Amino acid sequence: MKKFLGMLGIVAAAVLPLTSQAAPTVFFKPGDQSVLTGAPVSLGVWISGLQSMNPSDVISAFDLNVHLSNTNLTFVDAIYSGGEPLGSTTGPDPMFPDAQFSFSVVDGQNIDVIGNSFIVDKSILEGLQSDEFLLFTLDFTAGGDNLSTLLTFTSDPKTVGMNVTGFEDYLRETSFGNACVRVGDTGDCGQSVPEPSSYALVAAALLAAGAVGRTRRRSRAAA
Amino acid sequence: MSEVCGTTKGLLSRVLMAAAVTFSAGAVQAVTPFENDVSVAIDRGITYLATAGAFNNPSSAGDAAGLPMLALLEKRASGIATDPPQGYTGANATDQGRLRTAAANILDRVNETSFYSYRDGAFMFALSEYALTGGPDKSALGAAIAGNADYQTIKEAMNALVDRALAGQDKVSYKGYWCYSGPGCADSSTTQFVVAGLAAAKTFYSSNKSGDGGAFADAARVTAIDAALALARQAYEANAAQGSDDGSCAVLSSTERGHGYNVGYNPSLQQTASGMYNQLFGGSNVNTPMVQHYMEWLRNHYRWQDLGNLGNNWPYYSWSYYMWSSFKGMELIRQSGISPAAGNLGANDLGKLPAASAPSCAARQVNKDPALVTRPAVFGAGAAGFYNGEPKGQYFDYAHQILSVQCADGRFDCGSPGYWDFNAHQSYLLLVLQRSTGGGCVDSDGDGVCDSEDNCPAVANPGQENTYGDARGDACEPRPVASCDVNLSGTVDRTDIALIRSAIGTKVAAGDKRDADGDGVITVTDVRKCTLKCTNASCAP
Repeated sequence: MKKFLGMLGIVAAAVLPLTSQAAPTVFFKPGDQSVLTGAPVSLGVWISGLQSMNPSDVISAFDLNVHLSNTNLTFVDAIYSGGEPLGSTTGPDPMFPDAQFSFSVVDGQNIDVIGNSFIVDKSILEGLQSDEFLLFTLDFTAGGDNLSTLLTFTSDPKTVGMNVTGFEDYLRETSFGNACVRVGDTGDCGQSVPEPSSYALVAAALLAAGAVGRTRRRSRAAA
Repeated sequence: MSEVCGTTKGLLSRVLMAAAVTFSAGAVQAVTPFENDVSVAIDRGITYLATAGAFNNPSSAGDAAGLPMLALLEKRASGIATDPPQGYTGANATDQGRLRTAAANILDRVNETSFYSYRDGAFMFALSEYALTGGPDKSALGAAIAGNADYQTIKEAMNALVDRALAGQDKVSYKGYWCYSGPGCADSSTTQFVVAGLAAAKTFYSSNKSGDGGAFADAARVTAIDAALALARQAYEANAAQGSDDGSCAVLSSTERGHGYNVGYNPSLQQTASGMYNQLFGGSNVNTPMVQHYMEWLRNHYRWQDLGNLGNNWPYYSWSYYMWSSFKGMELIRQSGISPAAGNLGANDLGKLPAASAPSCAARQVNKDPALVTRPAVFGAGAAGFYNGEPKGQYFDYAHQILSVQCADGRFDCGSPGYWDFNAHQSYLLLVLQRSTGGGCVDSDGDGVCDSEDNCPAVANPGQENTYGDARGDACEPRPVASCDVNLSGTVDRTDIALIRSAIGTKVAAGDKRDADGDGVITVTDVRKCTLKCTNASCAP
């Protein structure tokens, strides 16, 4: 029986990724790019899978700290998405805009970007957001040749840099992707950069494997 | 009916909870032998009323028709105290049919009658509870009202009942009282019915429900009702008296006060009991001095068997009304969440003072002992101790006594209990078994939310803020709660939000106003949570 359950778990681990719904994922687009020295570099920071679990899920705020593995990219600007997913930062009432967007560069390798909405009607936020949309764009200038930079979402020194807030509370199951920017032809970030769908597959497989493990432990305890 | 208050969310959620429990066999609360017998007694009593035509249109109960209807609305699946009243939505098809016909009777009769204290008071609390628990309005009553051209919508009927009750209050000679059909006497018997009806109407007008006549909410009528109830409370305070018709229990302390049938009468059990809830509906609470004086009189003269010689000239007739009014008053206090101050009496103090103890009163009774009493034979065999384990106290005293006078056909008429009107008598006793408070709204802290719905009944918190989403509102929350009003301006606005946003990453001590989720660090989630608490639209100052 135990062997059967184990096999069932393995089968489930193989099948589940095909059917599991993706959890929200914050990721860079493009996830991997090659540029020339001195060229402008632009990376979008996107979120996907927000509505895959619940069609009415929205985000109302984020605080994301983007860490660069080196200083080969020079930060230029952070620009709020033209889709204004948290509402307009300039209107409709200029005195009281619907959203705030700001950023700060801590030491050349950490960029903290914060956005928050003043919209309290969830249906309005639903109308501004879809299952995948751009949050903001980061612009850099590429540095020296044959050097690559890995961009990751990390907790800043204050440990609050990986925070995506739903309508009123943390989206606790959010996962985060990386990006690699290779300058020249031979730069290598040293690790693969999964796409959001890959995260979902891995997460589901891990969940299934965990379930098998628990089943086995229970079986042993009951034996 | 305590659960029907404000938005009726409490009742509805309890109905849903009860449904959930029903479908989750593993979570079903055990029913004790006593609870089972109470449930049987309620079912038998309701069935008798139905057979007698009390729920018909026209009702066999006549002017008392609101009472059996209330008893049907408050029917519980068992005798368990925490079970919700069924209301309309929770009733089975048979009872829903009865309730529709009973409602049609009221909607039909209001337009054909003028103010009459007993009838109108009962109509108000029955119709209010019916409406707030999902009872269909005129357009959906269908066959129940066919052929009647002058019936009204629920709101029209409530408005008519309330307006003529407000107009009928004496504001000159017997200020605060209602006589039978308007001003003109200081009759406590008629007054308490109007007070109970208006208290339920306050619940109706405080709700966010609607019917054929539009939204029930009506702030102006709530204000007018509050004023009328306050006036009645003042009348009961002004006319409080000492003494009783039982000479051996006449004046038992210098501070006890009671109320009699009319000005100049000795206090009686039934009028003192209703006088206490009249004061609660009028804005008092357990620690209001005059409420304490009334409770002391009731404690000193406590009875459950009959009224003895403590009921003015009508002890034989008034027992069942006393049972409901005195239980209702204490139950309202229990639900208020306000603890008696040190040295004050509480709702559970009745029956603990033996007759011989000072101040001695031979007529006074003590609590029954569930381990010693027998099971009334009509429910089956059960020697002394059959109910062992039941909590000792007022409910057991009353409920066991009521069970002991129920006949096999459901009438509470075996053992010669006596009554004025049988339908009213039958309903009063059912309402005690159901722990009914009659749908009235007691708002102890005056914040516009009835105690039974209030997440902090002793502290005014009209917004019912509840950061942790638990049973206690922020105003009663023992854990630190962020108010978000960082600059202490009295409002939450963009200035506060900016101060919170600029502090992101800061670790703070418990209770910091910026830490809306109480996790000890300011984050953008705190910014968002406080945004949702902004006082004005767009978080404008």
